[in-house]
Amino acid sequence: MTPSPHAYSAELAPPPGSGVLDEPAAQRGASGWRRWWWRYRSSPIALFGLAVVAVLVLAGLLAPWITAYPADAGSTTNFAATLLAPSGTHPFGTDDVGRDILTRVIFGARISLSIAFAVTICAAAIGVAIGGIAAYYGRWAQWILMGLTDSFLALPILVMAIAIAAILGHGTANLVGALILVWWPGYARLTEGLVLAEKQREYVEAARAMGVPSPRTLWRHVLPNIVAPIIIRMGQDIGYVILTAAGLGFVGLGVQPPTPEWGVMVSESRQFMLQAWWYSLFPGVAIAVAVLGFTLVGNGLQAAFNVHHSDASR
Amino acid sequence: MLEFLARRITRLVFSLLGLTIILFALTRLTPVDPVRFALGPQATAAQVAAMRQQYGLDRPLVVQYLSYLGNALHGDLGLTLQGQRSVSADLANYLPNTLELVFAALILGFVAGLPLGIIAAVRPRGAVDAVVQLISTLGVAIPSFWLGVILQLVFAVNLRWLPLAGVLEPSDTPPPAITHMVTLDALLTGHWATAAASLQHLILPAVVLSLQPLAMVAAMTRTSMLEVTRLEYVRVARAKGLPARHVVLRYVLRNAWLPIVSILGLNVGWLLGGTFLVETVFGWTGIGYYGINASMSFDFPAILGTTLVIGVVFALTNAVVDVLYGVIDPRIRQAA
Repeated sequence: MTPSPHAYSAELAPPPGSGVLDEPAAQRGASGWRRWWWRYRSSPIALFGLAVVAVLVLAGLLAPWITAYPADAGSTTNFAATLLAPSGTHPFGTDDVGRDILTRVIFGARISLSIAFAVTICAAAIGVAIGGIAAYYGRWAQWILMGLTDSFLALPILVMAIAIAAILGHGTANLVGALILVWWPGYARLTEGLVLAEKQREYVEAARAMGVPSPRTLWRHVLPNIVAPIIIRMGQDIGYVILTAAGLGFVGLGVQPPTPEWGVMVSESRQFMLQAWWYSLFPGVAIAVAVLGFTLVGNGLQAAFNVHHSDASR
Repeated sequence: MLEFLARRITRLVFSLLGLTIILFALTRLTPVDPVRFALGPQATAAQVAAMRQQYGLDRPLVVQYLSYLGNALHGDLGLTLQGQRSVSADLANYLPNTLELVFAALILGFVAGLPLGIIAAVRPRGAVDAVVQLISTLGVAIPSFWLGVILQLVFAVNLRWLPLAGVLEPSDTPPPAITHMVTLDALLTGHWATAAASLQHLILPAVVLSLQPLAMVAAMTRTSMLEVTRLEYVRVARAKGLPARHVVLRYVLRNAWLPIVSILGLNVGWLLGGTFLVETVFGWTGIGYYGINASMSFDFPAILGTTLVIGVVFALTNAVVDVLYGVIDPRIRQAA
């Protein structure tokens, strides 16, 4: 199971008495972030992951300018050049309607990464709000909100995503909605545990005793103390979101053709398996590289934020 | 222990109930009209109205839900919109194939992952360790559906060693049904030719599906064995002069079991999800294949039925894993 949330909060807790009163929050945060970056930097594998992610983000952002055939990202056709094997002019070959596969793979980065970032950020925001409110207010709020969370967790993520995407209808917007709906409960659970632990601390009691309103305590004082594990979780989730989105695209429930989504491309390539191995190969490699990059970053974040685990993952 | 179990089960029942409410509400709130979709573009308004009435879709939402739930408790999951077959009967036909595939993948994952993890932990930083690290990182990153396509390309299309897809060829006669799992039934009834044919069909999908459990089992075995190795009683055992094999298997592995079993629990969810993709690639007629087909045609009763069955299987396995914890570690039994 996931490591106990207390492991993080023990390290991140402000020195006794300092949480509400003295040290400016910004300064405390800055020194902490610098320390974590220093620890992150010490792992070559984590740095490699970061480099992969940086390349993907740049490729996605600059896709229209760095690709040789930007028009091929859409539904253009060039029947004079169908299913050409990889060559100097088409390093990844061409597909069944003559589009450049390298161009489409690079544009795919743009699609997969935007979906993954949008889903992870929205899911974390919703989950943190629901988990935080449930844990902080307790009683019926906790009962209802965590019951809802449990219900969303009653199916494996992929099955839930398939069911919701199938019911809402196929397409990119519904895919993003479905993925947010399946990803927020994880953050709600995580946040609930973290906030329950923080609630026991003196600074929360002090804030309460001084008459700080609850929402403000939760937002200004509790949240900064639990943000590290949430960021680690986001780092680890992004790769998984990319994988799930590609899976849904592959079965036809996610992004729809002619959008150059990696999963969709693998699916389209299957009819041409006999003639064109490159058509299946490259979009899949792109998915694996993206997921690998984000997984390494996620692991690196975990190791950097969490001293207790740094020696187990050598 | 009993009280602990009772609490877990109540929670599971409530979350399953919640799940049905969420999905049921979604099917009624979505802009998609499954009836119109099932009848096709030529259907008249009267035909649509008649079908809506037949499926009870004209009744108030709460009434619809309660009658669905009541029927579901009696094992009746309604009729599919496409072809009007019984969803329960469909699922009963498709589920054994999925279970067979998932079991095969789980067994493969453990049989290959455990020794890899043990060897990696015995010689950290050795060659096997490097391989385990690589597999456990790649195993999570490589998309299963794509690996499936590539293996089909290599082993079925190019080398022609294994069949491309399906549970059996149409020319094969299925074995007499006992468990309804084809390979197992063929073995149990001594139909060796059928068993060989169905094993050949099983290999590729099972290997693809096993990659993730294999990666996780190997990584977890390695980590938790390394952690236990550092403990004092292991040093004592070594100092007493016990043979290395004995120390590893009896002292280290035994106490490293708990996290490894938790991997089993984590993987069941992943396997049940992954099987939707792998079954689609390999035309493996399990409930993943069924669920995806239902999803493509907006067959809401079939989708709801599929998710309900998966939810129950998921809940049951999680409960079993909790009990296994107690069996393996007496400390947990006593604490609960």
